[in-house]
Amino acid sequence: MLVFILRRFVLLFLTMVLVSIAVFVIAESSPGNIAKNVLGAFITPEQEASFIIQNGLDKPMHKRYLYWVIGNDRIALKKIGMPLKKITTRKGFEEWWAVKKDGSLLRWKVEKNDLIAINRLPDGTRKDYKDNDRWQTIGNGKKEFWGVDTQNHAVRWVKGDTEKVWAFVTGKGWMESSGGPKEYIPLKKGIIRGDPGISFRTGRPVSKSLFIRLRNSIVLAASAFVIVMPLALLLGMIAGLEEGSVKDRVLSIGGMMFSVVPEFATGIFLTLIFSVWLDWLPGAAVLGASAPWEKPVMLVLPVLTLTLIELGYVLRITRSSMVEVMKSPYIRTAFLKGLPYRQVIMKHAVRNALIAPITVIMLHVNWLLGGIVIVEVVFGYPGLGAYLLDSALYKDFNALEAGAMIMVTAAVGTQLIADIIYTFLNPRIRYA
Amino acid sequence: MPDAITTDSTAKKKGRLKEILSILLSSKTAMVGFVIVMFWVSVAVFAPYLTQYTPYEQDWKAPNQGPTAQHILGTDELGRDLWARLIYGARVVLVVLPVPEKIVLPGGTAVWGVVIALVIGASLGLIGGYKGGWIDEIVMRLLDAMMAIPVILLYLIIVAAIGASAINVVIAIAIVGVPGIARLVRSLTLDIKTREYIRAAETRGVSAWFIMFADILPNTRGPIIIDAMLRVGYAIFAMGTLGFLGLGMPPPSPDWGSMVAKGRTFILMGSPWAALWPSIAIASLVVGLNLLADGIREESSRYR
Amino acid sequence: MEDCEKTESVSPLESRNLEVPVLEVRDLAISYQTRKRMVPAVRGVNFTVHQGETIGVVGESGCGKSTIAFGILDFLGANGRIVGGSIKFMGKEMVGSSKDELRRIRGNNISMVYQDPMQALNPSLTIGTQLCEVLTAHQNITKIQARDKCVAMLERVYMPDPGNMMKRYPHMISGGQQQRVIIAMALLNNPSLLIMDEPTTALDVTVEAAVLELIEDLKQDFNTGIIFITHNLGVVAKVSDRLCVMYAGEMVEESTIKEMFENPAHPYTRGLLCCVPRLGDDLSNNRLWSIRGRVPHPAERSENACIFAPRCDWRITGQCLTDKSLVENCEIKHPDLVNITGDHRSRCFLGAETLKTPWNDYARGRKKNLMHVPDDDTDLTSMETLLKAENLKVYYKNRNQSLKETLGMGKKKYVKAVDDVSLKVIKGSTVGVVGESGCGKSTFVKGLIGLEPLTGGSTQLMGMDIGMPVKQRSLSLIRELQMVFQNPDSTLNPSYCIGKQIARPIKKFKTVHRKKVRQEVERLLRSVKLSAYYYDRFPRQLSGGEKQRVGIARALASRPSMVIFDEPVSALDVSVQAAVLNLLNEIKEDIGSTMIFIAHDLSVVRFISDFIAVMYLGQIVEFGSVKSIYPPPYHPYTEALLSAVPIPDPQAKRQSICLSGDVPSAMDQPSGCYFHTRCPRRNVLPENGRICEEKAPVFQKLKNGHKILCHIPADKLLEIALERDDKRMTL
Repeated sequence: MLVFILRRFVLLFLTMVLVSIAVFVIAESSPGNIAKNVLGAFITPEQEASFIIQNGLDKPMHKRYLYWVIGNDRIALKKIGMPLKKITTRKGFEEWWAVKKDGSLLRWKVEKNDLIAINRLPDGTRKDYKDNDRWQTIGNGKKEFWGVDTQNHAVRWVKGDTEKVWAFVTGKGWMESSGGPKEYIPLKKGIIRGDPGISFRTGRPVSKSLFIRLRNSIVLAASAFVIVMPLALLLGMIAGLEEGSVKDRVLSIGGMMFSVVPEFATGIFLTLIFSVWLDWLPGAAVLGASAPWEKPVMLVLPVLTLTLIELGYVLRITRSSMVEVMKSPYIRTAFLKGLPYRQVIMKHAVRNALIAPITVIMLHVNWLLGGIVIVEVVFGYPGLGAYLLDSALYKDFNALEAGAMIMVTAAVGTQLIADIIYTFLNPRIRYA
Repeated sequence: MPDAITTDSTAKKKGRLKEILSILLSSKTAMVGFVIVMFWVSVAVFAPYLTQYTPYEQDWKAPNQGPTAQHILGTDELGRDLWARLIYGARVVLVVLPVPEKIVLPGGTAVWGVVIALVIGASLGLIGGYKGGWIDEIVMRLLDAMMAIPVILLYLIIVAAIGASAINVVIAIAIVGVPGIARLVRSLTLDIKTREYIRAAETRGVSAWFIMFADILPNTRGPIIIDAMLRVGYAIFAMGTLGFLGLGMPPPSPDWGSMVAKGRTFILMGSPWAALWPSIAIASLVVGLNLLADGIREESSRYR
Repeated sequence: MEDCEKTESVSPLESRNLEVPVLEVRDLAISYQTRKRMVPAVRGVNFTVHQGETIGVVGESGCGKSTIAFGILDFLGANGRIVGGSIKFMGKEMVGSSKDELRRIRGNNISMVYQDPMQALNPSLTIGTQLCEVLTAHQNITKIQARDKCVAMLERVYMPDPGNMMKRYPHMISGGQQQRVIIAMALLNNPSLLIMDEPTTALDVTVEAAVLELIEDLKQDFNTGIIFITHNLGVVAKVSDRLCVMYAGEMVEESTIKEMFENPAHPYTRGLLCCVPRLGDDLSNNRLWSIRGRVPHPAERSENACIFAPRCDWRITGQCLTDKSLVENCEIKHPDLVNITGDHRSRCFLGAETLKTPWNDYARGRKKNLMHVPDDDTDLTSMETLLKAENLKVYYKNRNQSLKETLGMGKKKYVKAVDDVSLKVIKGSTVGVVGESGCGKSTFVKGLIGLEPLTGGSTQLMGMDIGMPVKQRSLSLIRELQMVFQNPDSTLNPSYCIGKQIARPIKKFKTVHRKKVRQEVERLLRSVKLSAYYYDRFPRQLSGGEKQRVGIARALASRPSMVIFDEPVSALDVSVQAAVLNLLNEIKEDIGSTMIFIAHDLSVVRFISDFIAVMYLGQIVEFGSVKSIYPPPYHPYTEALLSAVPIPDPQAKRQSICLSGDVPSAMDQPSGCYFHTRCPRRNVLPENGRICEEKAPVFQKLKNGHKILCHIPADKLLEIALERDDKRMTL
């Protein structure tokens, strides 16, 4: 059994690696596209080049992937030679600083030929001073310096040889400046260390906004899951007990209808019925700053939509498993032993009927997650799904990739759980 | 069986057609599904003859109307006829595929997506299932990884990366469909591979490709046809969803999903028609395909 | 309904009139609802079971045997229904009784043993749980009492370590043990009636013998009435007191077991008895009696004609009949079950007329030319060898690795499916390879034909090396070695018509000109006794026997010098099997092709082969010509196998040699002689056969190329075999 679980563990880890590569490759395979998608189709070639180099998109794919996953602050550390630290400002922006020996923080900028240090003291005040001592001489009389710039890059300046920089600052538009460095390493800790990068849309770290969205989505998904599972398993078994009976036909065809209608259509129908005609429930989930459990009435329609969709699928899987079990010779044996009907069903049928679909059902968590995207959009629910869609529409890749990885982790995690449950339910594996 | 001796091949085909028809007739579920699907297919094929409007014509005087004599299903916010938009929308889904340079391919977006997925998926499934070993291992791990990504998410990423157009929607549907079909074909192949006629072919030294495509593939057709029907249904579902999310056909194409998305804002303002009709259209077509597939599956399993 | 009165007038034996019979079945008719109409599955079944009596029910597949069994318990599924007749259990009518009454009888008064024990046990519950609930459901009994009773019962059916067995799950024990558990389960409540539905069909011969032995043993203790359903006349002869013969859903004949085997009256019964090859038959016989045609489908069974008429030689050829008017009614009237002698009933218009012809006097065939091996030729060197395998080994890697192995620690284990096998096949001869499931016989031929890579050793065909996989062989080499498979349902590709499938090898190997392919296919079809119009048929339109013939035709299409048959008849009904075996013998005579014939049935290989190789755990333990294998001396394993074969003759009540324990895993074979763990004969050697555990034996070469792989000297083996004095075996 241990081998089985271990093998699944390794496989799922492999899956995660493959998925992350797939997500990354699909999303970032053409940097030019990213620039155009983010900045619009009318940027100049210089602006595009500047964008690409600032975001490290000129680096080869595998390097970018590694930076994205495990971060690049250690590489930068080696070049700068000072410890690096990430702080969060009161406005919610993230800033990278180098740490001076006295504990205060340092960043630099270049004006003309001067290297200006920006010193942030522990009390939050800043102080600028010329810091030309740090220039280091390299070959043919040139001087260069590796440091941290004001845009969270580790950069290499060359004295007297600076580049023009275009930066798109949220709220201000295009800013052109000089004193740009030769080389950029956009600092990040990497996704597995909890830093998926900065959102192009807001300029704030993705992880901050993701957290609230994720919490909201979990509330939604969990409520749906808690309602769907017992109900669907129960109804599925009832349907499967007597194959072909009226009960069975109503349940399975009904379940099918609910499960194959797109979520947005179901959502529209439910809104029409419950908020337009009956006027019982709000048609949109307006949460504002409050948590979803503070306004449970907002949750009713989204949860109902999700429930209807998922119910049918799980019901049908359970049903067909039950039908198969009821036809099996060991159920025949149980009946011919003269056991009471209840005992045959509860003791012999149910457990075996649950073993088979559990992995299939858990795989379906994928769908639940997909459904969440739509349901959140339909009802304007501020969850992860809606966030993902906005990111996709805005081509906010850091946000999209981070959200995608969270969803995938959830999906893969449930698969692992399903595998473990399966092992425990099935004595053939437990005692293999 | 003395009556079953027919050497004429057309007679044989007739026999098969008869069999399919008898399945349809004997299963109410399949019949209902068939009628719904045929309704949409014929409406899509004959769309130009079924309405006097084009899907783009705007009537400024009559926006957001309910059903009237002029517009049997009403109009949208720009005064476009909803019936015309609905049936031209069906056309894109089921009958014609607009390729950018004004070339139009027969077979709708959903159909093309599924066909492409079938070709790739079936090949991968056959190769993985028949060859086994490390080839199978690699193929299956890759497909597992793809299946681990929630489908909508995969669509989001794909469409976000390659943009939105009819062709790209086809590509997205195909990519998403491949793992499922490959898994199905693989499991069928694993079963058929153990049959003795495969061993007989192997003992004759028949090449692996011939065995895969001539001996195994034809015997997977039953489940594949049923699966394809379900998949076309799902592709329509997905197209609607993409359209709804604003990732489908670029406007002003008559795309069901985006019609719902646009009409949605007017529901709470009292004119639900623009959102309602395409929702019903998608729902009925998908349900119809599922009823048809379910009915046939049930009936043919009873045959055995 | 007509025959009702007639059977009523039949009086059972005097002594039995006094007690109430355990079960009385009268005119039972069961139908299944299909889409179009009710299709009768069983009709006109009459029999009575008394206490302590065993009724055998025999018939081929699809004749309604199991339907009767489930009909008695009224467990016919959603679409089956009893449409007529009565079933009286202990004098009480069962038809129409309430669900609750039925439930109380099931498992308590009537219990059942099933064909496939693995499927019949719930995989996710322990054996103990499944046993105990039989008791707690019907008796007021505490769990501890129930447990003790179950352990006692497991002990009674000779299960090793019963206390521990209770905690196990079904997949952890062997098939024979599972069947013992099912039997124990059936006997727990001391039922009055036990229904056994093909209880030994899924088991190997030696395991079957042990289970039959157990049933015999239990019969004496429990005094239960038993209905024993099987298709095997040998098994039924061994265990039954009375016998019912079923054909196409009808009972065609019924009498005591002695009478049935001595004076069978119904043409079908006679056919059944004649069409199986027997160990006692003359070796030179090369034709079996076979019944023409096939069992009609339930929907095609006529209401007003004898259902056997289309297959009946008495009617069709009028053979042995002096008065032809007797068969006039066969096609226009449905015959009733009539008394022919005291306690013997038959459903045939001929009645006792058939008894005038002795049944075992059917012309059974021509002389077969047996291969002669010179006395002193121990290695068959004087004969022309077609195929030679030397020290052949086929190993698989172990699939279910433990944690250690996965991490690369510990030794890698191999499943030694074929372990050092050497075999010579003489040109024009047939070599039969026998052994129980898992002995490596199938893997061995897969290795020969190149479907399984060889781990070691060499193989040669006509002097050319064939040690490589089939893909690396040249076309001309491939065509020389072809194969016929076991399962008629999967031997043909359902997507192509018969003609195309036979034409494929013809085209590939270019045996005839392209334009003559169709002619060649038709010639092949004729050679396997099928008409040319089968060309356009699809496999689903063919019966099992016909499919198997097509498989043979396809193998012959490349005109191979050697054909391998992998259990070609084991999935067929006996009447069909006979026709296929006859066909094979004919092909041998006509083409003179060389064959390897794999089977688990010793009487079938005996009928078809010139040489026989007996395999156990991946090794050949005995080899010799058919003349020297069947009489002693035997390898102890061959002896056990032979003694376990059920003989269709109730007079031949004899003790089988029961092998103890299970077949060891092919992954870690026992040390020394592989058979020593189960060998019943090792005690004749000093120190209870210590040498068997320590040293691997070498072949003892005897006369006529006969070889035995055993430490016990051949003289001693001969002596102990003769001591057993099994008349049949010393032939």
